[in-house]
Amino acid sequence: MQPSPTKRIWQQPGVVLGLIALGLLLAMFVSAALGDKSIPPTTVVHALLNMEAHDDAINGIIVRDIRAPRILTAVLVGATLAIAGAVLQAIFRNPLADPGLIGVSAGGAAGAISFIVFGSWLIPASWPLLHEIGISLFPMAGGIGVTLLVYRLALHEGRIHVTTMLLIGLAMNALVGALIGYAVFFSNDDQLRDYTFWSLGSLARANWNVLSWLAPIIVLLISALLRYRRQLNLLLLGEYEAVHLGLNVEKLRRRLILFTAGGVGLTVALCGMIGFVGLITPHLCRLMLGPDHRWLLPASALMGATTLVIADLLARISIQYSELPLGVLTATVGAPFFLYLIVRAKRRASF
Amino acid sequence: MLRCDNITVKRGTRAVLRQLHFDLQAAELIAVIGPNGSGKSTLLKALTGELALARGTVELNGQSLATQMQRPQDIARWRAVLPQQSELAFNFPVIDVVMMGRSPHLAQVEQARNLEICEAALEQVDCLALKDRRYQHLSGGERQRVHLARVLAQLHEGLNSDGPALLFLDEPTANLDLKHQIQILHLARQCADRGAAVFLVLHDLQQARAYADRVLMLKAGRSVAFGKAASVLSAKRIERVFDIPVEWVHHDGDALLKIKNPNSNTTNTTT
Amino acid sequence: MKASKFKKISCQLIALTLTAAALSAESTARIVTVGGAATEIVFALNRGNDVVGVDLSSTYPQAATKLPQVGYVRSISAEGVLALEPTHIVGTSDIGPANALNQIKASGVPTSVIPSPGSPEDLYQAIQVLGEELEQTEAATQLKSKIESQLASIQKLETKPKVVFFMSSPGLGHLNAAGRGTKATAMIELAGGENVIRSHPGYKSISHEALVALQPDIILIGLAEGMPHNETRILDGVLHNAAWQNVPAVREKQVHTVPLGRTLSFGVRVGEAALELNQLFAETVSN
Repeated sequence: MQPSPTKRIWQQPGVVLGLIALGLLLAMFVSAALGDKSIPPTTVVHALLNMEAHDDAINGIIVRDIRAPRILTAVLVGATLAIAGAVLQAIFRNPLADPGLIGVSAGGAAGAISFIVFGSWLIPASWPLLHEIGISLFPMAGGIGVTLLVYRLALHEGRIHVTTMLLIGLAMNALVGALIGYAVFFSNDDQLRDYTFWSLGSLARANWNVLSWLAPIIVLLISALLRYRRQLNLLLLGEYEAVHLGLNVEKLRRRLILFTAGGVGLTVALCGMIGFVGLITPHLCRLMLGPDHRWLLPASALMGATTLVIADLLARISIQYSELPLGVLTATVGAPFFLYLIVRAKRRASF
Repeated sequence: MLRCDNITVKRGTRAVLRQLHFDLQAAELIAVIGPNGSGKSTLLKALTGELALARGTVELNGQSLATQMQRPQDIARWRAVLPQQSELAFNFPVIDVVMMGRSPHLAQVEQARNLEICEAALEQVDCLALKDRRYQHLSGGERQRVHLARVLAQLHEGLNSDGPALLFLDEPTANLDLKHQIQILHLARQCADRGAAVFLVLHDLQQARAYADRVLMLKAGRSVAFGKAASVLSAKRIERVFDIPVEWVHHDGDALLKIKNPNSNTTNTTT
Repeated sequence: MKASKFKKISCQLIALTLTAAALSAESTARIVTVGGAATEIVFALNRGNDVVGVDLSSTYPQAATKLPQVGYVRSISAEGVLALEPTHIVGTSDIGPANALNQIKASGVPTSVIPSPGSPEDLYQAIQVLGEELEQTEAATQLKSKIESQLASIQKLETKPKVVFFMSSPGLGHLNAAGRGTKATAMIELAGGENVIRSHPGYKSISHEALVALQPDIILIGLAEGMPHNETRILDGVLHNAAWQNVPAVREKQVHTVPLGRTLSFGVRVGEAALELNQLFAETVSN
């Protein structure tokens, strides 16, 4: 478990982690400078330090009030999705688990849509706070519900049945399709357009207000998950093996599911469904660092943040003056990667 | 150390174990044998808490198992279980897998000492050279030995002092070649000699007779016999339970199991 | 007649001079328009040359479609809008998401949001507001009176024809019909007809059977501009449907396609669109 002396310097977990963190900072800075309007790095620094030059007011606003909160939201959402992916892969003991693929995101979306469509009937409009709470709680509950369902149905005698796990994801995505169908039926065309854009995933809702409540929750969730990094290793041996090694698996799993699915649900409520970040980033990190969760979890969080910052940058600059839905972009890259994993796994017959 | 009173275990509505009684003492190795489907692995799972009891009680050190299982972190310091097959879909280095066995002790023992214990355990199973190899690159037999090293590392304190140690092994020889089968049985025997209570599910009757203090023979979920290895494993009883005519042949102080074949003169000893 | 023509020309001259003055005074003006009606009005108020960006729903006039696009009206990119360095942003009330609009407003760029027009009155108000904000009051008055006179010339029909309005869909496999509170209903009523579908608000799919039961005199099919449509095939699909042969509109071949943007935007072409439909309705009723 100690870094063995044969490892080269760039294979040391601490070094790799530092490099990823550096990459994240670089990506954040580049993302703050690039966009529909290219802003010189010095202006970016000035704007961030609030030393706004008067002739550059628009640049200042773009950097400080549009890009900065958006980039920070990308960091938080990306970190949540990636760490959730890594944790779910450990819980399900399968490297193919992803919040999107096994239906956690869809569960979150189902929660969000149900609330949007039916919440307005149940809660009087005069209680806006209740709406605010509902729109965050319902997706969290949806995500947690689906994860528990997947676990119940896919677990057979201590082993996760991969096909069942993925089929439940399929069913959940179909259910969300149906719910959007109801939403189509019960709503006007404009709301429908809103659902569609929301379900495609976007960070356009990011601002400092959103960040002020999102950041503490996500930071708490991630630090809570990081506390279980050693236990997650044991979980990989199997349910009973982990118990025999002194783990209260039942309790641990309940907490992990609560934190991960809750976090994913929250990001879905805010940004819609952004798939594959939770699948790809833990994989890349495992390639670099091995499967040890003590390094994998923080690395995944950093890498997920980097991935989403870059993806959002691409979404913003790929079409001038307008943006590509973020979820579409991540799926375009992620789906082929998923296929590659399946082909490779099939060749090795290792899952 | 372990007492098992009148236990019945059901899978669905079917009872797969009925009214079993037996006990396991410290410094003793008990082998469970029986034909396929007689309930050997089920019994091990019931004793380790993986399967719920329909009736009866299992006691560890005078306390019921169910109560103790509520604090798995305590029990894990002196009880280890090696399942028939451990799967690990993630590619850890071997030393990390063995180190997982030390996780119940991490709070009490410093890191460098834990590493020493793990390396010693790997040496015991003849796998120290594999220390830095990746788990998924190992053969089935090597994996099994690495997991054995893991449980040995877990029980290190119990095996090297007067503390209690309880070891469950579910057909640990299944994937191994003859040399490593013998090596693992030796290790299990050593554990018992050093004060551990060892519960071993085994297929090979000759090995059971050679290594076990007492033998529990099961058939169709019932106990057929429980007692000293030599007396339980009588040729007559084996013939009745396993449905094959055998006789014991004694040679240089070892008992060899010979399968009787009335139609020819060839003899065959099982391994 | 002659006098009025002269007056019109003089008005246009005045408007032209005013525009020229405005142009020279504000040659640095950069306007981003978001929402079809907003774009139409800004162009109609002679400020089209100052428009530097539009959204996807701005399909008229032709010149607007060649400008940089900042996304669809309900999902614009705040950064995209601001990157065009606008001095003025004009949007309809559909503009969104709210966060983007807030960010744009926070940037300090003057932002006008007009209610998305659903009636001539909304339109007049929008024209007046924008006329003042864009310093084109004269042109605004003129535009308003032009539309007013067009709408005034709509014939009142004694018997209102029964109309249904569908959004086009491939082969009209499902009939996405306009119901209560839609701009289609408002337009049909403006043109002197009656939307027979009152059972639902918004656009909903209705059954093939419902069409037989409703017995409409006219079927209108809205086609989005700028997309390829096989009009003959769409019309034939309705006219040759065996189940509908006793529906008056089908029997009398009163099935027509209409351009969606022009008919439903309630923009500056509302007068033309209403007049055209009115003529169609009048012919049907008199037959």
